[in-house]
Amino acid sequence: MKRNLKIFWLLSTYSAKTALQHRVGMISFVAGKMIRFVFYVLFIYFLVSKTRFLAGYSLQQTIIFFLTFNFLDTLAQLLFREVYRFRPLIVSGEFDNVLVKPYHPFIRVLIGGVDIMDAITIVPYLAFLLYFVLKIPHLNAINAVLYGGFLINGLLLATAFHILILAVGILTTEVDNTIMMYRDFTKMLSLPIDIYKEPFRSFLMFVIPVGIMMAVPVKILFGLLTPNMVIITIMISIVFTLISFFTWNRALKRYQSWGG
Amino acid sequence: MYVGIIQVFTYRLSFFLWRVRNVFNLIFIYFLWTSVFTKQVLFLSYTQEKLITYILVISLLSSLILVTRTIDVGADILSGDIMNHLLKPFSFFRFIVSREFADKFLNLFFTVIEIFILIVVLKPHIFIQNNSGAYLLLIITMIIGGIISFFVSLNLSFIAFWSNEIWAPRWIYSIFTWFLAGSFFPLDILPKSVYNLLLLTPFPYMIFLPSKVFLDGFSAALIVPIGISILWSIALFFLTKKVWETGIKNYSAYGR
Repeated sequence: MKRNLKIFWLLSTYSAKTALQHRVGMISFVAGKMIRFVFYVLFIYFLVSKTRFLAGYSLQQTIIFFLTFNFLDTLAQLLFREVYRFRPLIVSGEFDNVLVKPYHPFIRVLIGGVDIMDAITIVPYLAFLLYFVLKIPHLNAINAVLYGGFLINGLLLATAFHILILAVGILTTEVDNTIMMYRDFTKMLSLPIDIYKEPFRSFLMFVIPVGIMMAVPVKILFGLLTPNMVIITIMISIVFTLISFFTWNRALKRYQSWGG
Repeated sequence: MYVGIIQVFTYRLSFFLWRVRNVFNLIFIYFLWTSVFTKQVLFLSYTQEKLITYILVISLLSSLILVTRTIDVGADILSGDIMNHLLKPFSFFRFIVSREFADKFLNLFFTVIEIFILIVVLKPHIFIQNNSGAYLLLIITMIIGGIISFFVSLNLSFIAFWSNEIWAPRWIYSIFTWFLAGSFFPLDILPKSVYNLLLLTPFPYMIFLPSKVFLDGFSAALIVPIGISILWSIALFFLTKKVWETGIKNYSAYGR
């Protein structure tokens, strides 16, 4: 474990140093992320202030949905940025060199490129999130603890999604659109899941469990989830994680070194 | 144009996933706006029927106007591959315009199918424009929007003549387009002062104005925006010409 952490730290340092070589690009991307964030918040504010409620949620609640999405989405990008760079490794055959190294390939292809830009933007997201959560009237401590727990569950699901994307990348060499599709699905949860009608809502909740990632923590925070539903979401998270590991193992067995 | 279509179908899975992404983006916006109308019949000046039609028209226009292959020009300049195009015995600009048309044709074709499927599945109430003049004006404003979008995007690619950082400006541009061109919501729901300020920028003329023309038909209030959009397209043409001439004069592709 200590050895793995050391390798992770080393790779993260390299990644940060590489990013700092392109200072103008880095500043532009961070600025772009902040502009997008501000635009979204202004839009939500404008929309919900005109309608008073969005799918039954107040402005503050809608903003908590949005901030939770932003926090988890950014945290996943921060940790798993290397997945976005996986395709060149596959098509060039460079992935062979990763597999022969005496450490788990996930350290390199999954978490081997921590994104320093997201490390910057996540700070204000987290600050805003805490501010709005603490402003909830009569905040229930148990719900708050469960919210934290389900945020961790959300991060585990994000990990499973990224492993699945890596596996698909090995099998098909397609990574870019798959990861962007995952991002589009998660973006659909930047607003309350209740805006969707059935069967789309169940699709987002149970089939591609982005709803469990993004919406369930917030619903628990507001005390809107039944104990049965909590158990079901935990079970789905476990099954989905197992599927992702199973697919990864299958993909590795089928890997034939495409490039090189 | 034929080569452009063949290129797209070489990476079929990639193209398929790109289309799926577009469908889910449309579903997101569709349900967002549908949920707004669950407890009210009017959102500012829009009925549900008009707003849903707006987002469907916007989706169609985005595939025709905002989707572009001019991004490749920036990558070609950086890699030096643009030399291969410049040495060929046909105009580089005719080539990129043809490629643009091929890409737009394909995207339009699939967007029409996707919207048709969504209409069949979701059964939304949509607004049908009966005024034939609105369709004529729609085509005119669409062409203007297409020209503006093409030149802005091409200028972003020309940044590659001076800098390696071409992706960040394009990404920021896409954020601005998403919010300020009307991809997400009709711009005229914004406060009047913000809306009037936006009309001074090129963004509303890309897809918002054609959609507005389609929904409302011609009115005297549209004369000024159409006039500004024509001015923007002329200004952007000359700007692009100038930027290209300046850029290509100093350009050297190392190692080629």
